[in-house]
Amino acid sequence: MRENNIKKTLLAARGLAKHFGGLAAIEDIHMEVEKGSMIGIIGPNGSGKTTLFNVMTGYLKATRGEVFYEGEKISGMRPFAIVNKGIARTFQVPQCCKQLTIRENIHLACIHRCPKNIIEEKTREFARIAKIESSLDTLATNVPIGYLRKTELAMALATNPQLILLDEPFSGLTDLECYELAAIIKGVREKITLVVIDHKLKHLMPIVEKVFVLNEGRLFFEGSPEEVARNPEIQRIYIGGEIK
Amino acid sequence: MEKGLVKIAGVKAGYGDVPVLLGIHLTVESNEMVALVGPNGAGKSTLLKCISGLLPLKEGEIWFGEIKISGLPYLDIVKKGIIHCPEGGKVFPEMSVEDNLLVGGYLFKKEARKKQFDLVYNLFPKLLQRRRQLAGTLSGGERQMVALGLALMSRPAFLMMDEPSLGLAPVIKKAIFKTIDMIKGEQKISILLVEQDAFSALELADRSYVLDHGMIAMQADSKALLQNGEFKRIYMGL
Repeated sequence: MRENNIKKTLLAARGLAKHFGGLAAIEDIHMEVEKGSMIGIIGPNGSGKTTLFNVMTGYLKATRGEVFYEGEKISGMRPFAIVNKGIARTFQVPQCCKQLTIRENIHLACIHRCPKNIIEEKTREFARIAKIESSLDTLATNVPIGYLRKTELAMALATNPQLILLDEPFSGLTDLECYELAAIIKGVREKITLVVIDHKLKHLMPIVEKVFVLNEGRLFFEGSPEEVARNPEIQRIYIGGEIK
Repeated sequence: MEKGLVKIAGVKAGYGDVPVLLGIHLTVESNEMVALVGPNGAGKSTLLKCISGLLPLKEGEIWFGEIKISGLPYLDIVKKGIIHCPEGGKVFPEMSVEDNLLVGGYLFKKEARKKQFDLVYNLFPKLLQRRRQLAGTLSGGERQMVALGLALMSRPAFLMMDEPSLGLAPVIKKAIFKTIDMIKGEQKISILLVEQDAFSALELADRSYVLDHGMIAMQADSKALLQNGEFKRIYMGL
């Protein structure tokens, strides 16, 4: 099935819903992500942000609605097929293989993307971008969470994506580490479209150009970071005052 | 030694052959809130595990009032009112929200438990809405609320909180920090707060320690630390 109405749209959700028993985690979500953009998704805990990522990346089957990537319907495809289309993601709790080294984790992500003889070279390249070169030989179980988040970003880059969905990349990081990671994210966005879920608005808002706000599973608002920050209802339900 | 005072003397610990804590000295006075901040991997969570008896010490001692608690089984440490709320919203996923909270109130009679339930549901109305839902089906932030609720149900004398704001929406984070302040004021308990949001932690705490590479790099009155240029530059990126 093809969808040809908007050429610039890279990812689109059409009436997307996911129910767990009687609970509607997301309901009737319509959303478009333009190629080359950098989008933020915010909303109260339990508002459906991660569920939206899980449905878009094939980890969960939508109850209703469809997801399109470059005009092609991808809802219903399995996660690896969606990765093959060019969508990579990271997780709220990093999903690196804990008993492998950082190098081996990135190798795993490279394995279906580049010839065997250049895997090591590519691994070093992605580790350099993510600034984790010094930890390549350390077991993932022994590195702090900031390094795991950067490792997941390197693994996502290793799949040669056009689009990366980052789930709470700043969570668990100190301010200093957040500034470092924001600089890395800004560096990769020149070539890659990014959608970022995070609660750390101080670090998220300066790097995104558009924000989707979810509330109770529905798309509550979409606009620029400034419009979101000024919206009194969003301040009430989510921010709790002004952004610090 | 004053009752309720926690004293950590020369603690060294690690995992297997990997040393993490290289000789920590730290005290928490009665009804005092102490913040422990520092980069990822500095050993903050490891220190909390040592206090709660989850990780044996290689050297050093930990005292709670006049009782030496290092070496005691963790069950006995919990019974003394030393409660550890670990990072990452650790809950019992196959149990309902309410049953998770009941685990925290296990040591108390029904009436006392009711009071604690009211406190937790007042703080997190969302948990009241979802009290019959399995904790494993909650969002990451909601699980964090359950983990904090579980700790509060235990009516701690000394509460250790590891990254309580992790993954929480700004409005909930503010409410949690306000509640921590309220708990400290009203319930007269001592608190050791580990937090990656150093600014919020230091605004709340009476005193603060900076842990870096397994050592105490700085310690000071929190207000003084917030004015310290070296601290702001190295640890807050300002």
